[in-house]
Amino acid sequence: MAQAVGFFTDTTLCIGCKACEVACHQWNGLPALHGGQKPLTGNSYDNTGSFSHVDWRHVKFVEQFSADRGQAAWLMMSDVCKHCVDAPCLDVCPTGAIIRTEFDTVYIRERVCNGCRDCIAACPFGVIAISPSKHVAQKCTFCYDRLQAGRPPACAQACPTGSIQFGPIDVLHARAQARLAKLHAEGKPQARLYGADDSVLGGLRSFYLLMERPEVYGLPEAPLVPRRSVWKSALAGLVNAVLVALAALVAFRRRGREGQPGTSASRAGPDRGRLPVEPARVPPMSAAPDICPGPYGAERPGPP
Amino acid sequence: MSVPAADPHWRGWILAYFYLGGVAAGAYLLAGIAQLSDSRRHLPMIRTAHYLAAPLMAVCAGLLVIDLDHPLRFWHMLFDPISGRAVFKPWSPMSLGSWMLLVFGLFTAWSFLCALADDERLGLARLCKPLRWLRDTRLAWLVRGAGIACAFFIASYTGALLTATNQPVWSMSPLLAAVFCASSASTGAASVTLAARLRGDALPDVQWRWHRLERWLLMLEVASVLAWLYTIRSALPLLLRGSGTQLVAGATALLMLLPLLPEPRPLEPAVELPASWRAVTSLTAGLCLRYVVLWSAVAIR
Repeated sequence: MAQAVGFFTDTTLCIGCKACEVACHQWNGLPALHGGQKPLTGNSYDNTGSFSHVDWRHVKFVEQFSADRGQAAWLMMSDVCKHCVDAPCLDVCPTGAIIRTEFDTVYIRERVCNGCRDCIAACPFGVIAISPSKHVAQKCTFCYDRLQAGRPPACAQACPTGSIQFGPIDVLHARAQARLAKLHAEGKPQARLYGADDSVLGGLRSFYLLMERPEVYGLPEAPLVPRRSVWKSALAGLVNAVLVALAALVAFRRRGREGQPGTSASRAGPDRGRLPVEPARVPPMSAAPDICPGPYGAERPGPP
Repeated sequence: MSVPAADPHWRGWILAYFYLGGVAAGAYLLAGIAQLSDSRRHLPMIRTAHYLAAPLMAVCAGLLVIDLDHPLRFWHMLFDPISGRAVFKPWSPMSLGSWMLLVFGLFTAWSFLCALADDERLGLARLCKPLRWLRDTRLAWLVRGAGIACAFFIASYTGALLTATNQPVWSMSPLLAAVFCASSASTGAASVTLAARLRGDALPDVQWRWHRLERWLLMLEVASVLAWLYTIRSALPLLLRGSGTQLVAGATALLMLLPLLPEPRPLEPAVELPASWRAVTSLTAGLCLRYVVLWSAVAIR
């Protein structure tokens, strides 16, 4: 296996230029939607809005205002697929279309994907979308073709400020820790790393240095690993399965004379468990009022 | 509520699959248990269940294929098109469910053919004979047991599938599998009692037993739903913020609780009505429940 690689995104260096988005579109041949016109959302300068089948990178603009709106600040972050170590999409994918590459990144094989959308439901970051033209799931490939050719991903190469750093994951971790210590020393205790350790989905191959809580950037605090919930669900389902089976056995059990030889419910003999060819036709319920219990409520006395 | 996870757009086809698959599995598993406990008296109900389960599963397979964005690649659920090897991930509910659907489909088809053979409806005496022979061997008991286990799986795995996501509400509680299991069983019982009523060949006391079971299962369903609601209580205020959602949730609760109300001692000429009404209500409640569960992840965004 080749060396595990990753992205370290230092959000303090991001200036929101979107060079990474453009490079991603250009290298991967992702078309511009709506004829290249991207209208403003009306509540933010972030006009990409969200990930989509053509937007595999998303530069988030987080506008923060004081109560009187006299002061404003921007947080910017170039977001992308996190290529999680315990990747929920890879876990749940029923076709095996989502694989882990030799670079420890997560990759969707388009020829295998059948568009079931289970990966979309599982991904806590919302990075996967279905292509309306290819009808398969799409997301950042970590420029797998470029990695195979020994080149860095297009976005990292295009980033003019060094906010997106690419390299061997161990080197990036060390670099992030040093940067964090520097920020803390500069009196910025709110600086924190997101996804650098294994607390988030076993570790993220694309991890971040943030200046606020993850929620402020639209990142989940504690995303779930789907396979860990399966056993709890199975147990809960099993409990009710046992209750259903018990209820059915009690409801269908035979009592008293129903089981005696000579009655239609006799259990004796070779016919046990076999279905007779011709079932006895009986009159409708309203025409047979005195057979066994009352049909829909309180039991009525049977025939003497 | 800001939710980073994207919407998988599991809508009408999946709702129909969750519902019909649950009805088929519920009917089949109850018929299987009836077969094990007292097959002769329950025979008309068993056959009714088997006549229901197989066609419903065929419809379900179609619904799942249609819902795929690449329907012609439905077989990729089972085999890798590049390596040709089987794809089986026991930790992925959808992967496991795909294989179990195939197996359960075979069980329901076998039972359907057996029911046809018993009713002499196939018109193929040569086919009926080996079917009956197969059904009466010891192996058949094993097959029935395996069929019941498969039916229990199909009845509940859709809940586990929703839980094994990062979607709001769905992933909050592991009890969805239990809720769907109980709901499948109650709707299965309701469908069999309703269809048996239409066929008109079941013994009255047997019908009464199925109605009683249906009521018990509905109680279990209501208890499971209440437990599930408790586990997602933090999301309830957000879920119930709109008048439309309150209406849907209220209607679902009403449909589930109405059949549980004590009913007056029936007068002889009117005994036919309440049970059918209860079955229809129970079936509708099952559909509404699945709608509410599926829609909850969308509504909270």
